[in-house]
Amino acid sequence: MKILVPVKRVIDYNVKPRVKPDGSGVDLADVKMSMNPFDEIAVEEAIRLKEQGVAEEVIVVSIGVRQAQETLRTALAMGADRAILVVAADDVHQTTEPLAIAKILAAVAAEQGAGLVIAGKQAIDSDMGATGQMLAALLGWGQATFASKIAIAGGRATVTREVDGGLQTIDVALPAVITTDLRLNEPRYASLPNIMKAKKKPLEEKTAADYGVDPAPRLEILATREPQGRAAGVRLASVDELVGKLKEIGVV
Amino acid sequence: MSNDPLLQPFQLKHLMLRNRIMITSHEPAYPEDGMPKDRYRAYHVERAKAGVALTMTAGSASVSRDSPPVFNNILAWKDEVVGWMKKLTDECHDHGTAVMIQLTHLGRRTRWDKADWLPVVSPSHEREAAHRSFPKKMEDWDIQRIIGDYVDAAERMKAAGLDGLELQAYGHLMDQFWSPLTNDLDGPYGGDLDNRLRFTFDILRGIRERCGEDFLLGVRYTGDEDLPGGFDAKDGIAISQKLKDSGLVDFLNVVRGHIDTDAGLTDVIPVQGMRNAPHLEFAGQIKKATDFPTFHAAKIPDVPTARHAIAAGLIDMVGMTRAHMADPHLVRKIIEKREDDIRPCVGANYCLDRIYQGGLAFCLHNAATGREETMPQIIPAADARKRITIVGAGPAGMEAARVAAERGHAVTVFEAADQPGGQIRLTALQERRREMISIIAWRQAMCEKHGVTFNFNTFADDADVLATNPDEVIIATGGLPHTEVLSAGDDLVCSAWDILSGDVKPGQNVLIFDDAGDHAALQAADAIASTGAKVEIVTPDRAFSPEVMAMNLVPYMRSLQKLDTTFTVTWRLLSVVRDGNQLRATLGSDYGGVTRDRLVDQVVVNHGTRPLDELYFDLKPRSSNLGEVDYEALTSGRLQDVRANPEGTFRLFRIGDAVAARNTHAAIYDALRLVKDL
Repeated sequence: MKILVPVKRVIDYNVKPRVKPDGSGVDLADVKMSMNPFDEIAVEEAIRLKEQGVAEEVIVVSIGVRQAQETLRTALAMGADRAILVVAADDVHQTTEPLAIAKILAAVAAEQGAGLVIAGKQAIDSDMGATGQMLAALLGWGQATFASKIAIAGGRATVTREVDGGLQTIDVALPAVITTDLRLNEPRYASLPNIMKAKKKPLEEKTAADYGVDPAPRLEILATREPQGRAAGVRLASVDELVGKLKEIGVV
Repeated sequence: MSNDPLLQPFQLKHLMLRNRIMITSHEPAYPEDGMPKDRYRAYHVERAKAGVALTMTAGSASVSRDSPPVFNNILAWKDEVVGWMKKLTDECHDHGTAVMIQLTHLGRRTRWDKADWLPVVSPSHEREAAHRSFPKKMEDWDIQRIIGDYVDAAERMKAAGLDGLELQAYGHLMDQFWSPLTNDLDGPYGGDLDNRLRFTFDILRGIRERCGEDFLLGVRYTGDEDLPGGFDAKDGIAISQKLKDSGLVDFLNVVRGHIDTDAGLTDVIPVQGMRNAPHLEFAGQIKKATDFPTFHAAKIPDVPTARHAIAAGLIDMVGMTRAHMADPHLVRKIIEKREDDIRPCVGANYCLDRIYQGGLAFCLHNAATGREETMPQIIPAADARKRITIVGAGPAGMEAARVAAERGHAVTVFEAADQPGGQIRLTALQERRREMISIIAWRQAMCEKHGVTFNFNTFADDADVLATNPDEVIIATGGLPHTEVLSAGDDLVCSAWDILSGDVKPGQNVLIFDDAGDHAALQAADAIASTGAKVEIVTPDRAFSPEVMAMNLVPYMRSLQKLDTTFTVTWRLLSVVRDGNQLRATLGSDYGGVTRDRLVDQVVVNHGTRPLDELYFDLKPRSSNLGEVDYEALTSGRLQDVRANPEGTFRLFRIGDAVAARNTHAAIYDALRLVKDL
């Protein structure tokens, strides 16, 4: 079985985002970018399934600007076998929306003969959380979202999902789309020897047009604003005064 | 006026200290001929300039001939010390910093085979484990002689214009009198607590009489030996009260524990991976019990903890000593509300571990500390802006990028991994070494501030470098573990890095061959042994892990001994062959004539790194200097000016492990020394 793992290049989780002066979005020029952390978990899970002998090949795909090949190199250094870069944007500030991504992924999955797609449950930049579900719908596959545990046997996947108030275990027939939650695994460290090996792994470059998809956005961003700064606090002399204040603002 | 608790002045008797941050006594081992000369003075003045309130100079300056220095301490028994101390004090005073000194007699905590070959003295015959001397039990004339020496030394410091002094009483002669474990004397200097304190009070009284009321006196002492049979916290409170009640001292400077073993010393002065501020609450108890000016230091590396110590009223003056080695301008940055810019002390303890081996104290990641005469703590701007391209974002590359950017150059960094850090990132994967990553995080923050362009996930080749059209190229690509050291079976072993990175899963019965003697072997041993596996570390050296050094070894031993790790010295791994589903490792000895076999399922070899230098040699023919470094220019702070190749369009340099396997300090010093003049 081949596992396809989509990975997204996003602003690094350690970076404090700044909004562009014109309010059109977050400033991404000269900002450290990394692989979306949920996608790292997806790559890790796919590699583990390969190590267990469940999968033969792990293919990573990234859709976006040409610089996303850096993100693919990270996945290759972790242990993915090969990578596909689908160039769908020229500018780092140009977003490709979930539906276009899902359409391209559906085409890639079909082209590559993938038996399973493992994707991050959402990207930490736009927080749409939609691609995995749209992809399953487009492919007509089953879906198991927010996975915190995956077991694969006999052409089926048993997936534990994190839902409100507890865990739910479901069983889906393969091929399927699984999206990863935070607690599924801890992604491995990409060592220097493996980074060097990854240099020789194949990275194929395609365009959105190769898959007949128009990546033009359908949404219009009206404004992006930074959260309001924290207002200055006050010092209270006693617990009684604190309780009084809390009552005053109606929280106790 | 600031409302920051750390920036409030403190009135110590007649002396107004300008804020609550002090440098506690420590010996960086910079004296020349036992005197605090230019290097020593430059070190203290740098910190005075930046606003520290009080600097307690010397790490226990010696008052007597029979207290020969164990790590190049100041010789306070020589009259010539007055001139040197006066110069240092005057300059610090010019910058508003109060100056005191710590005086001591080491007692049994030194060696007889130094200086004048006089016998080591102590109030008993008990030997100290760390320095191995069997002391002479003191006679009455020893006691009177040394009391007189203390008073004479104090007078020298008064003559040099110091504001005061403190007496050392943790592990040295003074508290060897205090402790029932090391005082066998009969009265008047042995027996009950008052008798055991008599030596101290005789000295304090003598100094007070000689130096007067306006010379500040204190004691830096352990308030709890934390040893069976020693004095405990209750006795410590009683001693504190007696010191106060004597009217002879003006402040208490509290530590907790004992320093006669490496492990004890490391609990008093904790290192990386150990708790922060472990004795702060205890110091607070002493202050509460005595209501007397109380100073304290012990792994308070960060400003918020220091601020808490003062704001909560636990102590009056907070010692940030190693923190000041890492960043001499710590106080200025607090004043200027730039706390995020403070170069953090990561507790690597390179400073202290080096002095106990007879070296100078250097900060693992501030190569300018202790080299203030030649290395800048504030990077000067360059005359002309150049394009500098750096390959590799480990400690060498990141320091080069920081220094180049602070000089105002346009800096581009290529890094193969998705994060900066190189070997630091690998070492910091382990919980106890996590603080190491601050070495990189601080540089990354400084680089961001100065607009360095980073290209991660880029295994740069010559075309990538040349595309940046550089004026200077710095290769800081580090190295890869070299494990091919066997006569047979090189293909059957893995490296310590393979274990640390997780690329190779730990075996069940593992032999680690370590002749690099650095952290990697012990970290690998820890990682393997903590899975429940059996581990034996084999080294051809006389002692294991020589590069890890005494205090850094303590946390490892506390883990590895519990996990039953075996340490085998003076044996060398010769070969590994397959034996069924196991590996047969053959050990030999440099002493010759013997071999031994071990049957194991995994062999790890730790033999340092070999440079990743392909890119350097690809670029070399196209560089104007052909990679050559002018060592005369480098070491005297002049511009590099080798022009071996007129066709070259850029200069090429190599730093850190990309040259040869060394350590973090070497990598950072390479970078600072070179780039400050580019």
